[in-house]
Amino acid sequence: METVIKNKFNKKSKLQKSWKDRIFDISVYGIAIMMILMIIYPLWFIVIASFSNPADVSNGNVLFWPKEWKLDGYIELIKQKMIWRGYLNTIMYTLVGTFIALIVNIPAGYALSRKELFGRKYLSVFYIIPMFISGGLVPTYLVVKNFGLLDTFWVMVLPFAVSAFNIIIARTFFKTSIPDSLWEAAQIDGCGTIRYFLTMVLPLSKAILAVIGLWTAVDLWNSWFNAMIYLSNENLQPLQLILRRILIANESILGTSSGELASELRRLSEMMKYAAIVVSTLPIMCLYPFLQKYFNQGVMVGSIKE
Amino acid sequence: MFKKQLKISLILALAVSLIAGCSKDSSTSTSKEDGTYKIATVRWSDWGNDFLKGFVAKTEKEAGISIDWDTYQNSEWGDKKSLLMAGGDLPDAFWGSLALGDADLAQNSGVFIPLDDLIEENMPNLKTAFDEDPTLRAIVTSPDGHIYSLPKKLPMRPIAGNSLFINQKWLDNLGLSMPETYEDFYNVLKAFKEKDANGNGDPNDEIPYGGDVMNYILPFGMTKGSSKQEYMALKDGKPIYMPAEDAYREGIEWMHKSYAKGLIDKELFTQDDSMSEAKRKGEEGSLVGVASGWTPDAVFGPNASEYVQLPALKGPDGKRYVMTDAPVYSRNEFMITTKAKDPAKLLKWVDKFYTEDASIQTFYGSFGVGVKKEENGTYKVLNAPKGESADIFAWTNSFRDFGPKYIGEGFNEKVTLPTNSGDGLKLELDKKINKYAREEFPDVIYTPEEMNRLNTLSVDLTSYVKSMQSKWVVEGGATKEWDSYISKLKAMGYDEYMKIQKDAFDRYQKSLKKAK
Amino acid sequence: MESKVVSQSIINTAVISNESKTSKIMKQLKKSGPLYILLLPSIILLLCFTYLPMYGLLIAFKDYSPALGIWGSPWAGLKHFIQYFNSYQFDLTIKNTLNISLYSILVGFPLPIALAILCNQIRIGMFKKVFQVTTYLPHFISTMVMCGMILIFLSPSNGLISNLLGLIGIEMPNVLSDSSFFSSIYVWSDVWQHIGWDSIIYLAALSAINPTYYEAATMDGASKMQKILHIDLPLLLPTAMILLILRAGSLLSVGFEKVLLLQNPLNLAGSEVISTYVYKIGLQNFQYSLSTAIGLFNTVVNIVILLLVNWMSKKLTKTGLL
Repeated sequence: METVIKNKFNKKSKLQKSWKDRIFDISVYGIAIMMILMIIYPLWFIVIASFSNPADVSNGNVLFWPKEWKLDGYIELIKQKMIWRGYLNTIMYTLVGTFIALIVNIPAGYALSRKELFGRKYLSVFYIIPMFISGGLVPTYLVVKNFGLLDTFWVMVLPFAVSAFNIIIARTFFKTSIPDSLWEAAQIDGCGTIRYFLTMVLPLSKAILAVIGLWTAVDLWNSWFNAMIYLSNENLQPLQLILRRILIANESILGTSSGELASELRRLSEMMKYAAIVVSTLPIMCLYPFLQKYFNQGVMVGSIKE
Repeated sequence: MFKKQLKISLILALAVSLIAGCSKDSSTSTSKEDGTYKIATVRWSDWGNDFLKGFVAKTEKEAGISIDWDTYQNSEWGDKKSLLMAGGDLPDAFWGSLALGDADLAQNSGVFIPLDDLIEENMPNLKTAFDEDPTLRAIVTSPDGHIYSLPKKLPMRPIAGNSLFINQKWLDNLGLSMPETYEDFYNVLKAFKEKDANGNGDPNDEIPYGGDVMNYILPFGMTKGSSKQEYMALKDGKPIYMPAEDAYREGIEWMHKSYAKGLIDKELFTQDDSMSEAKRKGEEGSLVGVASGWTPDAVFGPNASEYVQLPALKGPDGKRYVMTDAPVYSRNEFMITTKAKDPAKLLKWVDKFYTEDASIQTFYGSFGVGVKKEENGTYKVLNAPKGESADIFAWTNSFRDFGPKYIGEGFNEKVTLPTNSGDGLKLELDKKINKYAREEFPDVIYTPEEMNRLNTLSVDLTSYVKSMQSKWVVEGGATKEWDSYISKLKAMGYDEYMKIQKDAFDRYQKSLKKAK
Repeated sequence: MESKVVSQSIINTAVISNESKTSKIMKQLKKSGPLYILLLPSIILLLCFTYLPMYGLLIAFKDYSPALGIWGSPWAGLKHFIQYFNSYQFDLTIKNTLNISLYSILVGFPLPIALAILCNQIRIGMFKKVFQVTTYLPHFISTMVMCGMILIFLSPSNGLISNLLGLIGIEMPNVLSDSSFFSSIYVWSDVWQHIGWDSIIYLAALSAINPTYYEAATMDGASKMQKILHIDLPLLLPTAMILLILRAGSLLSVGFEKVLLLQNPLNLAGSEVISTYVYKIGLQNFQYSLSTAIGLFNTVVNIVILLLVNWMSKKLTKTGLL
């Protein structure tokens, strides 16, 4: 009896799949292909621009292929002695900083998602306020200084590790994706809050860990402002700061007193502009494919038994 | 539970103590153990430390003084200077006008000590300079009568500043002679536009004029000086604001006429520097007929050989005009903060820089590196190593444009340097046009209140002027909308702006007379 | 199993209603204890590095001079705020900022969601990977290079777009010189650059949806479109709402680096925003008090808007920030 009914349903769904869903599929793939083309061209442009003469690029002469292959951009970039140190520093900051940020933000997001948290509303406000109100650069600098963090490795990974934004996103995730029944079942089995969090919630939260980890890692990888303000030791500087210095030096020169200087500095920065993007972006771009699997459907579902 | 309470109260206590600590001007004692002075200086870019070696190191030894130099990059200085001033890490002195400007000094007036008496007692070279050239004293005298910073006078500077350069090859290709008046110029540009000036078979790819607005309307008497106030000038000895003058309006109308005929780069106002440079420095030749700048190399890069300096064009009033936007004098080259112990010792050392030997070495590099002193007292500028730009070589080895310097009349003649590039070339180019240089709006000093008002007013005024300027050049309408434009300027505080300028100018004139 | 849980909670409720209020609070506190431990690291860091420096806000109400320090500088009351409100560009900058912000939310908010849903529908593994990687890559381009590219592509003389249009005989107007085009250029280039990156969070949320929902829907004969409308969208709603509220809370904070780079004298009427204005008068000239005052004003407005949107979201969708 059941099989008969099932077959009936299957037939019906197969029929429906044929035209409505076919059109749907075609449009999906069609739009996707269009998007890829629209996005990929400017990206391709950056790559070929990094191998081209800057004047050709700005004149619009570089369309699909470099007019003249020039490695100058990369050569000039590699000549900058601090680049390698910067690379190393950035990798360290990213790894350590992401780890610390996850430890700080994820548990907070979980705690805020629990209804039984006493003072939950007030705590939420406590986290949200600093997103909008800041005392300003100078007072923050003084505080960091008084804590003895100036010009140290830790200033890049510790003081600003809290991200209210990430905590809120995590909170939403925990609220909607981890069913309460799981907690009740765990309680009955005598599992404490922290143990529950560590052994049951975290394994189910790979997606959010991946997202927040990725966001934090990218932010840390790209950061230069904090390094500029709080670090003076050359050996601690991250890649983006070093690159920025080179690329932006000419922007601030007022034309008159040293017309030649401005044009010389600009020439250097033009050459390296596109190459710098390729060089500084490549590693972080390679990170995403490793995390992609966490964004795919139904990886961890099925582990929740009702 | 108790542990938690303890934790919380500890944190609170820490917080309170920190707040309390922050309230005092937290000056972490950088008291010099051995009499070392900390000096902060700002450079355009990171060129290493060679500029502190050689001559500079020698002066420190001679004066028996030890300096700890903190070098900052200009691109980051904006944020860092506030931290320095407010964060209690004040150095003993600042070197170079790139570090702090008038606004900075005005906002931080309690931080810098008056130098008048100290100069009297410790700086014979500077005193001599003051006597020889009253401008020096006038530009550093504050409205309250005191001196808070030291001046400089640069060697090897042209009188005229940025000038226009025209493609000689294009003129030759079309059989045209060098224009002498603004009308000739217009016709030459027209020929560039309509005919195949660069000889590549395409009559349409030339951009006749690729420079800026003020340089184009120069023949109408709109000369930019070296004043930091962008549009201030002098007419008949009185301060004027150029964008409010009738001559300016006429110039803009003329530029619009040229724009409508396609003589001006259509992307003049919308492109960024990379794009405008690319048009001039393309390896297959420049697309631009005329542009403005310092020297042909700086403006046209690899295509420089095709360009010559345009003579000062005769304007509608029959006179010729040039820009004089190359500063020679400036102040804020050395300031001492309240942190410094024994400022007299510091100034005795700084005085060593106000000699001719010092000034040329801190402009090109020490003797043997950037410049050579001959037996007869003249100087020879040494060539940069092969492949290096002379300008960058000078910047790497000296303070170049910044820091205390002074040279007397006729100094420039004592110096020999290559005339086919860099400073030498500029001076040669300058000789041809500098006789048309006129009086310019001087480098006046404002009171802190004036400074405050000026800043706010000039942001609004300049925004409006620039947007109307570009609109009128592209679409026209300068004459039609002139009256409403002037009323709007007034509504924005133009009268107050001019009053401040006039007050400062009058004060300057007075201190100039006093010095004489 | 279920009955056991139910009976347990009934017992709990009975027990609770017999206790006094304070012991109820004590019980809740005790239960929350371990949760507080989870919160501790972030609380400490926030207290030290964000709350502590907030005394700096006083600068907005004083005539701050670094020489005198914050405590030594004289009080100025609302002087700087009034100066700001009376400034010539006040109206213009607020108008432009709101324009760009609202446009940005209208366009930039729904599109990443659509993209995530679209991506989720792609079944061919390799294609999906390529699609994902391509769409998030532009996010890494620095603002400086991005603006340089925009100016090159939109150049009326030899930019890519004008060349393409030229092929079909249309002459492209100089959009960069037109102040009315500014917000569109700003917003759509933002979309291009960040749509992929912004969709990641939605993809993650979609990946956590229980596939049994889809199976049930298939059995009910739902088409793919219907599945999206009835499963994907409602389950994405909480995340989307939170992101919307947070975005509304930065309404007045149109970032200045990109605007500054795309600004030129011809489009100023549409491109001067609060942040670029503050930059020009404040930061470049040591006007601490004025720029802090403006920043504070921005913050207050942002918070008001945030609370408004939060309230609306709670009313309509039951999700809220607070």
